[in-house]
Amino acid sequence: MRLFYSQIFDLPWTANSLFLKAATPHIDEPQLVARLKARDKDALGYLYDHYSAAIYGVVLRIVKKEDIAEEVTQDAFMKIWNNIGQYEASKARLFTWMFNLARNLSIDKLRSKEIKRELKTDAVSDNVYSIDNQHHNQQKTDTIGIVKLLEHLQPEQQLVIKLLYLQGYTQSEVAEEYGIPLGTVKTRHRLAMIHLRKLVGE
Amino acid sequence: MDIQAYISSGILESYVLGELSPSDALQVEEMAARYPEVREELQLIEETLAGIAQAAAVTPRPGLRASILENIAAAAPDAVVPPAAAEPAAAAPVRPLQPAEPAVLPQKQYSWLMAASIGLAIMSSLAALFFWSRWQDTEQRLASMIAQNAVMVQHVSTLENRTQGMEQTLAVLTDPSYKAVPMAGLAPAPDAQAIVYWNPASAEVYLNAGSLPAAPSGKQYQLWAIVDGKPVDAGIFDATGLQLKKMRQIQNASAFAVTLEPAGGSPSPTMDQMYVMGAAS
Repeated sequence: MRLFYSQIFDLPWTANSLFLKAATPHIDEPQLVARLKARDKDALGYLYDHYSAAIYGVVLRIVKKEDIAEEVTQDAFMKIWNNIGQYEASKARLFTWMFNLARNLSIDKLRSKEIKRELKTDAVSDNVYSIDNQHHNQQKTDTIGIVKLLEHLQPEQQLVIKLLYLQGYTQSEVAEEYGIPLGTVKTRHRLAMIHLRKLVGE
Repeated sequence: MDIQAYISSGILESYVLGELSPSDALQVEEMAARYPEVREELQLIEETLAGIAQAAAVTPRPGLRASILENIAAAAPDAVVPPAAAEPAAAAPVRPLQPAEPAVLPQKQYSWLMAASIGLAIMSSLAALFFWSRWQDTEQRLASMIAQNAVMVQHVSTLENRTQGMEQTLAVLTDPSYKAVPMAGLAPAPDAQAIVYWNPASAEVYLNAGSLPAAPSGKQYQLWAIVDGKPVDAGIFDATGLQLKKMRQIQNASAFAVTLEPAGGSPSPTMDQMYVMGAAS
C-alpha cells in the first residue's frame, strides 16, 4: 500500500496519514500512549497529525455530512484525550481502540438524528464512494485507495467489508438487513479479512 | 481446545470490531494471553483494519486541527481545581470556646457518611455494570434470533408457495372432470411434448409446459384452442417450472396447439412456429 500511494498521489496532506510519517519525528506507540496518559499536548498534536485522516474518513463515511463528521471527529479526539487512561495496550492497538470509539460515536450521532434508516437504505456502493465527489477541491482524498483495495474482493465480500468498516453496521445488522444468515456474514467477513491482509500488509 | 477452529470461527474479527459481549471478550483476551497463534491472528486482523481505514482515509479540512486542539485545551482542566474557599473568618472566634472532644465528633460522623456513600456508589456501579453486561448479552442474542427468524420466515413462505402450487396441480390431476389432452411435437421441436388439462363443463384450462424448450429471449409461447375450426387465444406462458399454469377459459375446443410468438402474444397464430398440437376429442 505504501508504494501504491506514493506512486499515484502526491498529496499535500499525506503527512497526516497513518503510514507516511514525514515531517515530525517518529514516536512509537507505547511511547505515544505514555505521553498521552501524562497529558502531553504535543503528543496530542502528533496523534492528530497521524490518525485524523483515518478517523475522519471512517466518521465521514458513516455520517455522510461534512459538518457532522467534523463535529464527531472533534468529539472523538476529545474522548480519546479524556479516556486515554482507560486504554489498555494489552487488549488492542491504539488505532483499533480509536477506530471503535470513533465508529461508535458516529453511530450514536446517526441514531440521535434519526436519519439512520434513511441513509442505510440507500444504495451502499454509491454511498461509500460518493463521499469523494462531494469534496472541496483542495481536499484530495485517498478514496481511490479503498475502491482499488475492495476491487480485489468478490462482490459479496466487498459488501460485508463496506457495511462493517465504512457504514457502521454490526454483523447482526448486515445479516438482518440483507437476509443473509449470520454465520454466512461472519464467514464472508473472515475470508475478506484474510484476503485483504495480504494486500494491506507492508 | 482446537485453536485453529477457534480462530476460524470469526470470533477474533468480532472482538476487534467490539461486537462481543463482555464475557466473550474476556474469553478472547484469555485465549490471546495463553496462545501465541491467537495473539498473532489478532495482530493481523488489527493491521488489516488499520489498512482498510487507511485506504478509506479522508484528510479533514486543515482548520479542523486547530479547532480540535484548542477546544481540548480549553475543556481540559489542567490546572488543579483550587480547594474550596476557606471557612468564613467569622467562625474562627467561636471555636476556642468549644471543648476539644465535641469538635471531633462531627468529623467522625462525616467520614462514616462518606464511607457509606462511597460504598453505596461502588455497589450501584457494580450492579449497573452487571445489568449492563446482561443487557448487552441479551441484545446480541436477540439480534441473532431476529436474523435467524427472518431467514426462517423466508423459507416458510417459499415452501408455502410451492405447496400451494402443488396442491392446485394435484387437485386438477385428480379431478375426473378434467380431460388430459396430450400435445405432440411438430416440425420446430419434434421431441417436445406438453399437456393441457381441460374441463369441458367449467371451461377451465391448465397447462403443463412439459418438455417444450425454453423460449428464446423476446419470444413467448402462446396456447391456442381450435373452436369451430378457428384458433382462439388461450393465453401466453413461458416454458418454465413443473407446476400447472392456469390459462384462459375455453369452451367447445376440438384441439389445442402451442405456437412461439413475439413476447406478449399475437392476435392469430404463426403457423410455421407451431411447436405442439393435440386433439381434444
